[in-house]
Amino acid sequence: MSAAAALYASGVTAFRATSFETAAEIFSEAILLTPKSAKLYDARAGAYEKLGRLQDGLIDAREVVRLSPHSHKGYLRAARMLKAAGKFANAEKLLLQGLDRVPEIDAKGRADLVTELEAVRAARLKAEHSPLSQLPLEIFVEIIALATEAPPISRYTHIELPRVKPPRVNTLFSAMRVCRTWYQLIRATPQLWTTLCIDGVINQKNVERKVTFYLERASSGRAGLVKPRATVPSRGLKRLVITAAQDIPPPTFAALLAAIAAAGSAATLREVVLSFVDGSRTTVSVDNEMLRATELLVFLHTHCRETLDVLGVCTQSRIYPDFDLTCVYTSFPRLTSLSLWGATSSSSVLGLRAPFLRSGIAPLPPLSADPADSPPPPVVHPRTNARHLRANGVVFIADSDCHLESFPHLVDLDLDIIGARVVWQLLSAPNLRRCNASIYGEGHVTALPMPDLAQAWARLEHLRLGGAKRFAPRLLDEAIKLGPLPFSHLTHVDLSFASLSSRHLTALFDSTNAPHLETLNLASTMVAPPVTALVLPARMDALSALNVSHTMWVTDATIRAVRECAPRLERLEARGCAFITGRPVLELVRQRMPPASDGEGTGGGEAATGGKKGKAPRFSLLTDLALEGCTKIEPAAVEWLKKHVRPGGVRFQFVDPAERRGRSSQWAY
Amino acid sequence: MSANKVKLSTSDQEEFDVERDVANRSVLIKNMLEDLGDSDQAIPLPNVSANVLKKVLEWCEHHKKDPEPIAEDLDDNRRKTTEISDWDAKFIQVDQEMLFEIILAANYLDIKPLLDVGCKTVANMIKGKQPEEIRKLFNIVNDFTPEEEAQIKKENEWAEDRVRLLVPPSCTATR
Repeated sequence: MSAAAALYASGVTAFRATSFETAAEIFSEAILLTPKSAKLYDARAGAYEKLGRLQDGLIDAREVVRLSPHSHKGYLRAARMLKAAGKFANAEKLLLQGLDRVPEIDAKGRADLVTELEAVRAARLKAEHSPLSQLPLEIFVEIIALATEAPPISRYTHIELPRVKPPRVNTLFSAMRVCRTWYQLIRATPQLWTTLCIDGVINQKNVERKVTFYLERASSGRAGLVKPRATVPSRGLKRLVITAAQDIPPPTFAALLAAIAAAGSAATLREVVLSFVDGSRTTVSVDNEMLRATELLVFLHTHCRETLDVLGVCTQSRIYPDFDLTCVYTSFPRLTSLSLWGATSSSSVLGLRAPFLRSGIAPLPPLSADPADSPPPPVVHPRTNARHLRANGVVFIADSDCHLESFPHLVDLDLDIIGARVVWQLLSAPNLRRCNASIYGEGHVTALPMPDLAQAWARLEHLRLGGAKRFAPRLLDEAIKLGPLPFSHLTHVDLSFASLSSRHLTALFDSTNAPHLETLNLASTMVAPPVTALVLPARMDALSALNVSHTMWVTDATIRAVRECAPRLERLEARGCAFITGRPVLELVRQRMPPASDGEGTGGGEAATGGKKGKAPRFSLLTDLALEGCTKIEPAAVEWLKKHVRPGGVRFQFVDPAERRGRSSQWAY
Repeated sequence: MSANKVKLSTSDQEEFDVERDVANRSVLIKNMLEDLGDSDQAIPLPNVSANVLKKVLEWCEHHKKDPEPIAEDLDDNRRKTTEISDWDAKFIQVDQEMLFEIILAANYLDIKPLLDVGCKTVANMIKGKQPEEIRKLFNIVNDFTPEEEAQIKKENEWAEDRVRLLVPPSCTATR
């Protein structure tokens, strides 16, 4: 018996005794003696396989195939290891090769290969089976549509500057690159290509290509492939979002609009936003902004008068529209939402023009006409489809007012404007859900007639009153006079910067009158003399957030009152309240300690001894305290608060950050 | 059998006694009941297994008092959101296999709101992910050749929403 044969025998013994490590070593020795033995390589491959060293085993198995290509053994072993490694395609290839080369005579070997081939194919099917593949096509498309849904339009028209651009992944393109099926399916589904976003910075070099690609997909995709679940054909562009528009060169901008018109996609547009906020150039581009905005408005009026539903223009300048507001809605009969976002505090001016709209500035009457001769014809105010109107940072210099009859459906009014008279009637719109009225134009505001609050505020959920100094108290006085007017739906109230007196709060925002009030913002409010104290309502059962920053009337007594009247308070902001001391704040936090779990006293004084070691720390249900600039609160009190409010919940420093950052950040309460 | 109970029989021959307004959440069953009238016969649901039906009925039970959607706005102008109510989010926390079973069952039984919950859940899994992550998540084989992959990337080079910081990070952190 040769030495190699002896080694082989002892290797097999070791293998049978499951000492695969030893067996592999012994076979290696044998291979050194007889390097051309397929049997030895096969044996060692077997040992490696058992050890899980698939890479080594595979090399040996391939060696077996090389040394005896007509034996089924090498193929079988290699395929098994490839299968274990998840390389199904390679395993299949090798087995087919084996079936090619192993002679017919070796029936059993061939049968083994066939069995293994079936096993590999089954394993492949199972491994490559994706749970998504069992879904019907239209559900798959629905899922992709949901996953790639563009963010709501409001994200592009937001006043907060500078806006944060979070890293974003374009989900539609990720999905396209997943596999062939997805790629073909997504490309062929026009429904997925209805939102076109162009950013002047991101798409600087490829606006045209992006537009072309989208338009091809959106309008000429084979719609027959997937029947959309909607009854309305889902072809064509629905949303057009242009951001950083001042960075798009004018010719490109024109070409973009022309391309959309040429593809016949303009007629399907429903939501359009034009934003000049992000981007590299800002105030120097005002002329450019005006021209682009006008260009877009004209384009929309020419092509999608009948379909436009949402329109937004967003800029960092103050907006001066030269047209009649009602006219925008009547020119686009389906328009429900108009947003003009500007910045009141900006020094640059964006004159918004729309030559096709009726100008808001009335022509002077001809000199010759005698008013007595021809009585003016009765004015009929057209009804609009307006649901939402947002005008922030807008100055109305127009003479033409909005008439209430034109706005029967208005639910959401958000105004931060100069030129109260133009929109004054809208304050009486029936059944508003949101009313944010920050209105300037001093002379008008106090002289104008009282809005019909009983009708307008009956279902109000959000209320913000600001602007001209006497505006808020006047309206609140009227609401008190009405009964007081019950606020059965009201959840959020913001009266910051208003000049108030105690009865405004106690009569209107007590739980008996406004049972669902959750947040109350009284930042920077003033108290009308001669009484210099403001009294909070006796009960605000649902209140979870209160802001009393930067106001002179807050004293220790106020904080004590908060303890009594707001049993569910979670957030208290009292920045820059220089009169309050630590004690009442401590009491407030202590009162809101959760009941002890081990039956030790519930709340009250006992809970405050939560400093006991060895127990998980308990924190107050009052989770946020903003006390920057409250200089009378003692450092020891701050330490105590930090221990009893959740980590990070207490914000305290001596200097109120708003003081330092200048006037504009006063708004950052 | 009382008039307000319905018998359902699953693919694995299990029978469920269900309140009528719970079963009515399924348009398929509702229509069948209307067609059949009152009968003691169990309604066969050959496409749904017992463990899936149990889960689906749990959803129907919780939502049996939901108002009928007012004039279903099939017009796809309505903005789609992927928000899911708290209860539904908790309900749908199941393994992937069950999730897809629920979607299929909701589709078969014609329970539109449940189908929506399922679709939204899967959509949220896909949202913001890179192709490789999506493949891994759903066990999908990448059958593109490297050349094809490069080609697609090149042809859609404009699609990469590159992040460019336009303002110093210190400014963006203020809010």
